Amino acid sequence: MRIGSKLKRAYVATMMRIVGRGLAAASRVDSEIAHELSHLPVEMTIAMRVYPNGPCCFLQKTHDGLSYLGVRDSGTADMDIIFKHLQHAWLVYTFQENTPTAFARNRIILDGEVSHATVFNRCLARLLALILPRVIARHAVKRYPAIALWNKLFLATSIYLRIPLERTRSAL
Amino acid sequence: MTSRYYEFYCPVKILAGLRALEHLPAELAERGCAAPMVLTDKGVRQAGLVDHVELAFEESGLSLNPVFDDIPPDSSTDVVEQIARLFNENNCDSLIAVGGGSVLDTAKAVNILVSEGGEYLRAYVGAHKLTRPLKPLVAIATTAGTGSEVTSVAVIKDTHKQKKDAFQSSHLMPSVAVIDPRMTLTVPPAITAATAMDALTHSVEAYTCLARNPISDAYASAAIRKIVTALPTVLAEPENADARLDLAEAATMAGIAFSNSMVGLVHAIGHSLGAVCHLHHGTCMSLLLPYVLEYNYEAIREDLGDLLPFLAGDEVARATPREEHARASIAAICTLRDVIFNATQLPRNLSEAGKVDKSQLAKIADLAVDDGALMFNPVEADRSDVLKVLDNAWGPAN
Repeated sequence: MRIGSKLKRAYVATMMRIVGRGLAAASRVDSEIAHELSHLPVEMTIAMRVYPNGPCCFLQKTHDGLSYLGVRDSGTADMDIIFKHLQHAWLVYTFQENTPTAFARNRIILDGEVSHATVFNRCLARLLALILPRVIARHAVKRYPAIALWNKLFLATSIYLRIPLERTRSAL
Repeated sequence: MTSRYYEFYCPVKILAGLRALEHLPAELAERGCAAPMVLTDKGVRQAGLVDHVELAFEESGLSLNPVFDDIPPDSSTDVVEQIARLFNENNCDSLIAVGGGSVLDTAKAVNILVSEGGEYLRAYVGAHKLTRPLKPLVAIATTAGTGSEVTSVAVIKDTHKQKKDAFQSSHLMPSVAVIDPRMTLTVPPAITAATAMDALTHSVEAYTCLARNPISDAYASAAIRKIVTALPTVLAEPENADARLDLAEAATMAGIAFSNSMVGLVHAIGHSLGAVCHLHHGTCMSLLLPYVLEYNYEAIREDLGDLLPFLAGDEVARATPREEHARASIAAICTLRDVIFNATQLPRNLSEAGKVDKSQLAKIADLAVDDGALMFNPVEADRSDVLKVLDNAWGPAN
């Protein structure tokens, strides 16, 4: 594999871990994300991965939010969000393209219930709007939410502080 | 450099025109099928439409058996599972669906079970759950609207929840779609109008949503021109077979368009409105379309403006300043709705529908924000946005 591709792969893998742990952290910090997640069934597993065996991360809905299950080489999930190529994940994780646009451009395959994917997408958009500077987040989401700066800073700090503490858990 | 990318896929063989049904026996034989099961509903059977299909087979020395004619207007997982058992008991090898959206969606769902195996449809809910081709399915639409004969989607009500489940896979597409003017000739004016407005909504949303592409645009815009031309003619002359054929072709073209570009907020709210208030899908589309276009206006102004020649004709488009094209497009849709209302009383807003209570709007909004179609809407919409659209769609008595 070329060095550029290796770096790209490493970047996407790192971002997937940050986003995965970030979602788990945000589910305990942000009431909007917690409310959204309450619509998903407890024990539901969610995977984000790059086809065929690229970077991936697994999450699980629990009674109190999301748990980060870490990286697995194999295994199925109740909802699988699959980037068809590393380049497609690169576009999304470098915030050049938001997730709905990536879906619309057939870069992502969804294996699972569509209504659950819309809930998950709202959580992802909210997370990115919270933890990224507005100038970057505007490219990562369809609509930047109305949120007071102090509230964004407080929630972003809380999420970033929790990310290293979000240990990988076993599935329920 | 542009990051644009799209995919377009329509493997459905279309048999269209006078006596198209008579081509069916040979089509099935070509696919190695000798024992098709016919699916329809009581209304279609009583209207004598299945007779046309049976006659086409009889004249080829073949008979159609069994015929299941008990599909309800709002089909459910229970019905699908019952038909699948019957299909297996009779050793059938293919399906012929004769009906509107509910019958065609039911046939697609039945095809999942009889091809993939299993007893319960729930295992296949969602997108991309199917991994191999299904059994041959012939779709004969008896309404010109849903486009279900060429789409990769089926929507079936979960019997145990007040919610519709969507199934999506390219393998769900029928093998053959038949457009025969005899099949839509007797559709009453109100249903003709509602289903045509469904097709118009497919086209307009396909042209303005996130996944639009140049090929789906071509199908969508051509379908719009046919609908706005043929629908008033059909309402004035219900037995005009040429105009009926134009409408049916337009519905199929709109189906090809939205199957490759998806739809947006009109459908997200419309699915929920239909599920909660039991309103006809085409009626939901017709009354919501202008209000959602207003909501999306700033994001779609250019695209909407491009549709003016198709919605109002070339002369109107030439006489309208470019900056007013988008507004004129919405006005053209509203004018068409008024023409339809005068002819059929098809409601133009929620209050005219007479089946919607304001206390139901919150429930409709809750369901709409979880609808997959929302993902492809060009503008984000949360629960409060959907409530605003519904409030605007309530009508002047608001």
